[in-house]
Parts: sequence; structure tokens; C-alpha cells
Amino acid sequence: MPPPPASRRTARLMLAPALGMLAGWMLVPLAMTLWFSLQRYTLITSGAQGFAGLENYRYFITDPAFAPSLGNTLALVLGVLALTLPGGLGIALVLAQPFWGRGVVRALVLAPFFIMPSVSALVWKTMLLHPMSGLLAHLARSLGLQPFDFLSQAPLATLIALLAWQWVPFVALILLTALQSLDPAQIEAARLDGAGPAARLRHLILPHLGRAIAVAVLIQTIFLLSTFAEILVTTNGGPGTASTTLTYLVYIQSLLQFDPGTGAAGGILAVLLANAVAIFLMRLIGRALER
Amino acid sequence: MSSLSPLLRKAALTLLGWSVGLTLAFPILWTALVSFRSEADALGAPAAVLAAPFTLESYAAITAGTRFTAPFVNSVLIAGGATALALLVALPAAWALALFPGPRTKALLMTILGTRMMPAVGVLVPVYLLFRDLGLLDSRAGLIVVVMLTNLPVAIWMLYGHLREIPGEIFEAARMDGAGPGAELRHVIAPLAAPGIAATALLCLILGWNEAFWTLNLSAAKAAPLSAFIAAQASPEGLFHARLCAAAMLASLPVLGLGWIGQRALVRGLTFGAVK
Amino acid sequence: MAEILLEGLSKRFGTEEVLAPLDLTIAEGSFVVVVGPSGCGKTTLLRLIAGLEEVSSGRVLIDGRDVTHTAAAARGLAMVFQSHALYPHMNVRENIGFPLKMAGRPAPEIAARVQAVASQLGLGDCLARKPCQLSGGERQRVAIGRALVRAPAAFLLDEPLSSLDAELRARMRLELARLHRALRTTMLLVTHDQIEAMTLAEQIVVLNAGRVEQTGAPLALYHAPCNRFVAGFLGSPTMNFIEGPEAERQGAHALGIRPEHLRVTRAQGLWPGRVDVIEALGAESFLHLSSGQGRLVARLDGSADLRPGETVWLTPAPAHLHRFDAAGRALPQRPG
Repeated sequence: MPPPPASRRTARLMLAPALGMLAGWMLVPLAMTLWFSLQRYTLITSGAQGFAGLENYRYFITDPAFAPSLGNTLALVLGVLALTLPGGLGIALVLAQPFWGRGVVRALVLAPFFIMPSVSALVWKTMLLHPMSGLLAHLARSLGLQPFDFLSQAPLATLIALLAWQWVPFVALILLTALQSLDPAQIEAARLDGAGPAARLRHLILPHLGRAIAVAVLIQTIFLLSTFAEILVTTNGGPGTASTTLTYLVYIQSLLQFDPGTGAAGGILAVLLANAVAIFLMRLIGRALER
Repeated sequence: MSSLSPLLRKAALTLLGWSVGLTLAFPILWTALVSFRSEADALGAPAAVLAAPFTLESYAAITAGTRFTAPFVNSVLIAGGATALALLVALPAAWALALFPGPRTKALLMTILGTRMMPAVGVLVPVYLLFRDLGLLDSRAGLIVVVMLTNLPVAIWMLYGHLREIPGEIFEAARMDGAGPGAELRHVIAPLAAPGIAATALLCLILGWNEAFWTLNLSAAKAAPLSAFIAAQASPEGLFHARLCAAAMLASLPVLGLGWIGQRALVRGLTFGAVK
Repeated sequence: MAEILLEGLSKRFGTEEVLAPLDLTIAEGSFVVVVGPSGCGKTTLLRLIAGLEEVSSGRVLIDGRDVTHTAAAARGLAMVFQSHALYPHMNVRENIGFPLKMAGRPAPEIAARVQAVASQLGLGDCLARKPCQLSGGERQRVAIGRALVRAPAAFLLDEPLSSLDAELRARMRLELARLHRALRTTMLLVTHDQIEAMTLAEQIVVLNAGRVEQTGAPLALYHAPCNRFVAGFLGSPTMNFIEGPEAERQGAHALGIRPEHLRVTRAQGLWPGRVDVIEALGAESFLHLSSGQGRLVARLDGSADLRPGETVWLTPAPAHLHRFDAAGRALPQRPG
């Protein structure tokens, strides 16, 4: 039922600060990015030097780092998803069953997600993976093997492992929450109908988790596309461009090579890429809103 | 599995659960262990590290000067300030959306959500230049504002979800019972909204504490919070393992605690209510 | 205690008329039940009287005082909500005492009156409990207690029993009737349940699609419904309606006969019918039959000595045969 006009006016007044701030925060800088991306502009001379057309975009796309960065971004997102989805599902299925010390195990499983990204990256880099003093190097030497320098030999795969470690608790937590909303009577009905554990998983549990899995995929993708601190701390995008993602390339162009025009052009491309994913996510969330 | 006896099945699950949990938490547990070793002991082989005596000297060392405590204080101020501001702005907005829904409510909510989906790197250049020109680079105030703005959509959505769950008849009952706007706020609205506000604050604190894009790009020595400070320890191969681990533990413990309390809030907040 | 007078009261949401202009007098101390299918506007009517909704036109008078534009709290009415709307963070004592606290009564008086109301409603033992620790019936009683404690001019009850299970609903219905007898306060209850209307009301208002179909004492409406809607809405199982040649023969578009007014005989009668299903309830039985007049239901006292598939004869009691015209209006009883 529609509220009286007076309260609608109050409602608008209550909304105004938040909407104004968000508009100012996103629309204004986004418009500026678009403008910069069409200008000849450098941080050093500070000032636009005229319209450049799509020149910045051409620079960004023809940059030798661009093609690898796109491939790395894709590999990073897909690699992490390939690890976190089955991993998270398995963990959620285990945590949904009663066992001794489940509360403590839940806390242990969740811990990696709460650790600050720079801390995770630094701990992995120095404590686990360091080719001289890292735990894995010690382990390799005690087995008589040559220590492997993960971050320079396999930077992208190592980064994927690190990010998967950070994100698997998130997937597990989401799927566990969704699992708990499954009516136990359905499982019992399926058992009476003669469905074994595998059939129950395939025909009952996975369909029930469908939405949650989709949400987990989309949210992870959006956050993974913006991965920054982990790359900065572990590989700095290298060696060469071996672990440079699109986000990281924009950062390099904008703030390290002082080229705002090209950086802005890359930023716009990153926005387009993220929006392609966000559309699906927003549709899912919008549907949940109506229930 | 159904053929196993219940006890055996539970024992197997216990074994499985604990091995998964310990494996996943291992890097953190190992960091915790090393943080309680002396710098010399920390560099030894794993077995030696395990056997070395317990000491708090690394914690004493890093909390002695301001090298670690200054960024810690910055983190507290930035995460806390951003959370307080975000709640201040988000609460009336969520209130209006939840209690006075109109034909455009859903569109507004989706627009608000859309701002959160925008990758930060898309506005890095202008925000950096604006900060530079306004003299906000490496300032706590600037970071508080930016972190607040990144959390605002999450805060609005979460508060909206909680407020919408309060049945409207309760407010009408309060009106029938003679409660004016002030009394309604004090006796009915505030107590009912408190749990949702607390959960939202928790999530904003976690996200603000861990924020690591703007804090890394917009801060230097003065205003750097822990995320930037820790990241800066990556390059020099100082090999102060024990101290590094102590710093990592101190930087993580507040959020580990908050995160454990707020798991449910986290799922709701980070999935924008799509998974409850 | 108060008389509530509605004059041309109506409500529109945008262009949609939820409630057509309506005149109604709710006598002082009476128990009036507004009954109708969901979406008929009955809850809107209650909310207009309560002051939770702005009226589109017309006036609300309480004891002659025009309260059309008076704030909800100042009308001296108490409301029991469908969801009970208990304050989840307050215990029973605080919930019941809240209206008095808002009225600024001194604490000792609040405590005494809450105690009195609680013992009247049998809530003495759960005063310290929160709503989530109460059973459905207890919650219902707390909601009534919160209304009772203010000694209101009238009670407005919005489907108060609909969230309870069947057994509890029957019990609370009795309690409401007792309460009204004890207090003699004006009560206006809104429901979709015709049994509630029949058992509780001194006067029933049948509402349909925003319009009053008929007003009157329960049995008057039951025996002399003014149209097909009222005839079909009151009574369970519902009245049998017969259209076609049989109705035309009696000068009507449709005939109506209640199940208890259909005589069932083995030998001769007016219409033959085949027994499909027998619902035997012990004290009474319902026969569901197929006949040349369509599907019919007949009520028998005790248990019936019949089997499904059997053919029987049905004869309507002429004095209880209702006749309706094509618009559904009741036609006058035929003499003889």
C-alpha cells in the first residue's frame, strides 16, 4: 500500500545522501576515466594536451603485455574456480555432517578467508615458498630434492593456488549455508525411494545448491578480476608478464609508467569485462530480492 | 557410507574433517608457531622450529617502536571510521528503502549494487589524480572516505535485508499503543534493528580492515594501514621470520575474531542476500 | 464502551476502489463480525476505523465524536493484529504494559493492571517470557492482553484466530465470546471464516468485493440470505444450488437448498440420486450425490444405513427452498 506523500518525501530525503555519494563516487570518476582515455595526458606534465581519439586504446591493446595479461586473467579466474568449487563443495558436505570437534574445524576452515590479502601473500611467499628458507624448500631438501622456486618458475599457477586457498572457505561457507536450508525430509524421502549417496548428491543436493553455486561463481569472478595485493606482494606481475593480469597492467600503466591516458583506456576495458559478469550476478540477486 | 555403523562413520568423518581443517589452516598455524620463536630459531629446519623454546620476544620487538604500531592504529582508525560513517549514511537510506517501498525501490537497490560491481581499477586514474590535487594522498581522512564508499553498497543492502524482515504490523501496533515517533524509535525500532546494525558493522569492519587496493595505491608512510605496511615488507629480504610472523598474527587476529563471530552476516552481506 | 458510526466511508488506492462508500452502525457493547473472502476489503475497513489508513471519503464517528482525521493512538481503540505483532524484544509483562507506559502511567499502576489482565487471561506464569518462548495460544492471549490493558472504547480484531490450529481456534473462539460477555465492550472482528462469524457475532456484515452484501443477526442471514453470495458463503457444507428446468418450473433462475433441508428416502421422493461418497462423522453424516440436478450434498442425523453406489430419493423441504433470479437476488418465498 502506498505511503502518504509526506513520508515519501521523508524517504527521499533519507536516501539522498547515500545516493549522492555513490553517484559521486562511481559516475564522476568513471566519466573522468572515459575522458582521460580519449585525451593525450601524462602525470608529469599534468594537463591534457588535446583529443587523442582512440589512440590510448590502441596503445593499450597493442602493448606486448596486453595479450598475455588477458590470457593470465582468464587462466587465473578459471583456475581458481576449478579448484574452489569442487573443494568448497566437498568441505561443505563434510561440515554438514555431525562429527567430533566440528565447531573447531569450521573455524580452521574459515580462517584463510579472513586473513588480510597482503598477509596471506607474504606468509606464502616467505614462510612456505621461499626457495631458501621456505617450508617447502626445507621439505624438498630433506627428501634429497632440489628446492623449486615456485614464484619464478610457475608464478601464475602458484598465484592460483594462493587465491584458491583464500577463496575456498568462502565457497564452503556459502554452500554450507545453502545445504542447511535443504529440508531433511527430502533426503529421507529420497532414501526411502532407494537413492544412494551418489544419487542423492546428483539429483537432490546439487540441484538445491544450484543458485548458491552460481552466486559463488559470479561473486568470486568479480573479486578475482580485481585481484591486486596478492600479485603486488608475491610476483609484481612477473617474471616478465608471466603473472600480469588486466587489473595489474592498468596499475602499471597508470601509476608506474605515469601514463594516465593508456591506463584509463585499460580501466574502461576492465570495467567492460567486469560488467559482462556483473550482469548475470545482478540478475540472480534481483530474482532473490523478489522472493 | 550407509552400510557403516554410525559410530564408525562419525569417526571417519572426524578424521576427514580434522585433516581438511588442519591442512587449510596450516599456513596460519605455522605462522602462529614461528611467531613464538626467537629470530635465530625461526630460521632452522621445520623440526627444529617445532622443538625450539617458546618466546614472546618478536611480539615485544615489533610493538616496541612505532614502525608496527602506527599502521596498526591507522588500520583501526580507517576501518572504524569508515564503518561508522558508512552506517551513518546507509541506515537512513536502508530505512527508507525497506519501510517506504515505491515503484523504483528495486531499481534503486540494483543501481546501488551496481556501484559495488564496478572494478576499482576502472576509476584508479581519476581518483588518484583527484586525491593528488586535493592533497588527500597518504591521508587517513582520504582513506576513511574511500573505504567508506566501497562499503556503502554492502552496508545499505545488508541493513535493507534486515529491516525488511521486521513485520510492518509491529510498527502499526506501536502506533496504536500510543507511541510517538520518538518513543517508536527508542522502544521499538532501535531494539529491533540493533542485531542487523551490529552484523552490518561487523562485515564493514572486516572488509575495511582487509581492504587492499585503495590503501595500497593511495597511501605511503604516514597513513598506511596494516595492509599497506605488510605489503611493503615483501621486497627486502630481511629474513626476520619471527617478527614478520608476529606482525602477521597481530594484523590478522582482530579480523579472525570478528570473522568467526560474523560468519552468517558474511554470507548474507557478501552474496547480497542471494544466499541466506 | 462506545458506539462506532461509519458514514459513507470509502477507500481507493489510486484508481482502484477497495471499499465502496459504506454506512454502518456498530452499537455500543455489541459484537460485530465482518466476514468475506480474502481481498474483499474487510481488513482495509478495520484499518480505516483504527486510523492506520487515510480514508478517501466519509467519516468515522466514535460516540458521536468525529475521529476521521484523529491519530490512531488518540481514538481510544485497541487492535489485535493478524500476526499478533508482539514486540519480540520485550517479555510478556513489557508487551502488555507498553500501551500504559506510552500513556505515561506510573509504574505501580502499570504493574497492577498488567497483573490483573494477565491473571484474567491465564498468563500469570509466563510474564517473564519472550514472545518466541510462547505457544501460539499464549501469543494470541498476550496480543489480546495488550489490547485489554488499555480499557479501550472498542476492540478491533483482524483475523485474530487465523494463525492458530483448528482445535486452538475453537477454544480461543469460546474465550473471545466469554471475554465479550464479561466486558461488554464493543468488539469488531474481521474474518474469512464463516464459522467464526456465525458463532461470535451478534451482528454479521457480509462484505464482498468492497461492498456490503447483507447485514443482520447470524441466523437471520442464514435463513433469509438476500442473495446467492450470502447464501453460499454462510453455512458448511455450502448450500446446494440447482439451475435449469427444475428451477424454471418453480419460477426462478436458481434454487438453493441447504444440506440439512434435503430429505433422503429409499422409496419415493422428488429427485433420484446416486450416492458417491459418505462422510460419516458419528453425530451426523454427509451424503455426496450425483443427480439429474447436478452434484448435491445432504446431511443426515447419526450414521446412514447406505452404501456408495446406491440410488436414493431426495426431497427438499419446501419451506426452506430458496429461489434466486438471474442476478442472484433472492425471490420472495412462494406462498404455500
